[in-house]
Amino acid sequence: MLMLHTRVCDLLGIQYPIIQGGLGHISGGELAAAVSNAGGLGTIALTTRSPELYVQEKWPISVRNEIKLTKSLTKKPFAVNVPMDNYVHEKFVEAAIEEKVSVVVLAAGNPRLYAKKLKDHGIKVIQLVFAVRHAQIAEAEGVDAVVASGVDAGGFIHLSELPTLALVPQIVDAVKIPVIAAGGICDARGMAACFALGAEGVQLGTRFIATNEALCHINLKQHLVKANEISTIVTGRKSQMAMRVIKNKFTAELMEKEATGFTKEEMGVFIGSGRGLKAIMEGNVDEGSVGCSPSVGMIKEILPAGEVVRRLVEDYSKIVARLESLAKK
Amino acid sequence: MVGIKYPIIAGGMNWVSNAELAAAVSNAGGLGVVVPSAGLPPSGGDPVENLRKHIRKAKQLTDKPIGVNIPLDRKAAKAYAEVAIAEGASVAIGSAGNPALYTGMLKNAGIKVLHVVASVKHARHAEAVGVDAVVAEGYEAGGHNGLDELTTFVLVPQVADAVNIPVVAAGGIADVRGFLAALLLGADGVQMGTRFLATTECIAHQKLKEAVVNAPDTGTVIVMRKLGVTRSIKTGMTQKYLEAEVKGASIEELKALRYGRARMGLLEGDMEEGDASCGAIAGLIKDIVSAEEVINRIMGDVPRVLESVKMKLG
Repeated sequence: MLMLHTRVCDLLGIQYPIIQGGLGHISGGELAAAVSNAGGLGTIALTTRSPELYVQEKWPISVRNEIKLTKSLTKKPFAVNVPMDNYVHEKFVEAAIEEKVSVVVLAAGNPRLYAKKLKDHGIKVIQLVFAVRHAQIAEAEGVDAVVASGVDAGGFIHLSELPTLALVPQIVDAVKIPVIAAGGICDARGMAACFALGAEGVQLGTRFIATNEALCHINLKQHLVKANEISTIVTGRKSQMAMRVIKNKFTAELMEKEATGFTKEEMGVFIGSGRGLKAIMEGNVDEGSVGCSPSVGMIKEILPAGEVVRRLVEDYSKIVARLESLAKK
Repeated sequence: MVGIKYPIIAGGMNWVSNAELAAAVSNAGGLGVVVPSAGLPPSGGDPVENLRKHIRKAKQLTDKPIGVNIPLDRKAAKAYAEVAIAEGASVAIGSAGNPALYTGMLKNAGIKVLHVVASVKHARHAEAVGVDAVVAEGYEAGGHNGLDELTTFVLVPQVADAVNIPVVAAGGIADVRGFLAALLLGADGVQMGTRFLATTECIAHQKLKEAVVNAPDTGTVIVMRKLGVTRSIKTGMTQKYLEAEVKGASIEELKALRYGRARMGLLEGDMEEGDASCGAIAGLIKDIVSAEEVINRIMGDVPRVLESVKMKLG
């Protein structure tokens, strides 16, 4: 039996301190359950299995469906991602409470909104943070752990743009609750590095896109396998909507428009809606916008999600053994 | 490989990597590095002779290896390499240019050659032209960074996978945790700049050292995205620069705001009008200590952090 244990395991009731980060339209019940069944913590994000559910007021229906599906596939704890920047997040929280999920990951808003309520219902609360101050606020509001997410991550980039390597130890020094590192972790090397930085858990997002259970189109998974370290790009910095995404035809056009001084509104019209879905569901990676970490170059194959977890744990001891031999020299 | 006790290199910092700092680092078991611009007066002066002076001085202060940073984009790059050979430097670290230029010449003279890279492609090229090791530097680092803005955290393992020569991790490292994290990511050593900026031996201005010590996690900023990518400590000047950039200032206007400010920031400690390169890890630096203390703390803490990493295996 492979061992890997930290406070995060005890807190969340999981075997390994490995969390699959919420991935919009990608991490549905199948992926979350596969990760949880392998001993990690799977996370459900908003997924849309049919076009008629892709309107904000119907999002809570999707979330509830995914929770039910996950419960049918695993008896282990799993998490629900609650981004607080949409209009229906309260309904996400209601669903999590009614369906008695184990963990809620709060993002893009103040944890004060729901931390106490969730904890009163016995749900563990994790807050996504991007700077030391956010972590201190989260701790003061009573959240159980923070995910410290560096700019090395895919998708949304916080204005602070702090890299994982610098962010994690500073947050570890600033709070007493467990810190889960995120951003740029793709294999056991990244996980071990985060533990050395003082983290007690890791969250991986991009690595789990290239798994059998991810809901996205096979084209996207194969695109990730072929990608290298310069296959991503940050768009939208000027409009303060910075995103790290797959570099493609769409981002080339977008960067050109951005350089010519597009307004935020013009940008919104150009990007339009459904760019994410285009790549994720239809498999048109060239025309779509998909969050992706620059660690993607380390992904060499599409794997079952459970195998990703297993390899992280198995390789960890090898990575530590290499360090020990270096230390002896 | 370069004849040092600990795999810790003091990264060459424009204007402020002086002989005393380099010698102190080397005496403590790391590799000290001097730069051609160390302490040059406002009037300019001759960087080639200045480099010679600093190598000589450093060698008077230590019998351990000394490194030289060679900015390959400068006209005088060849002269720097010749001085490194003539004065008996042990290691040359090339940056900002093509490693094919002087690697052969330096290696023929018995000097170990390292080259700073910010992408996998450049690491492969450096290996192909015969450099002895690459310094994989992420955009956490202070000063000039690669245009792809890859972080140390994602760059190091991908470079380690791509080349067979040793990889030195740079950018975002200031304590034992970063040191061991880099080794776990696949590096064979680390290079630190900003941590050595805030040391007693460094000739950076006291006001800048204090600004580094007082910097919060968000204390640095990337400026010059339009003119390259550099990371600096936040000053009045970086604020003005970024505001101008948002307002759509021309390249000429931006250059006028930025150029010629580095000496003011680094050597004169002008935190209003000056610009000082500074790494994203500044928030972790809490005191000004000797270079020896920096190295002793890191090496002294290794067993404790290594144990905590092992402990997780149960």
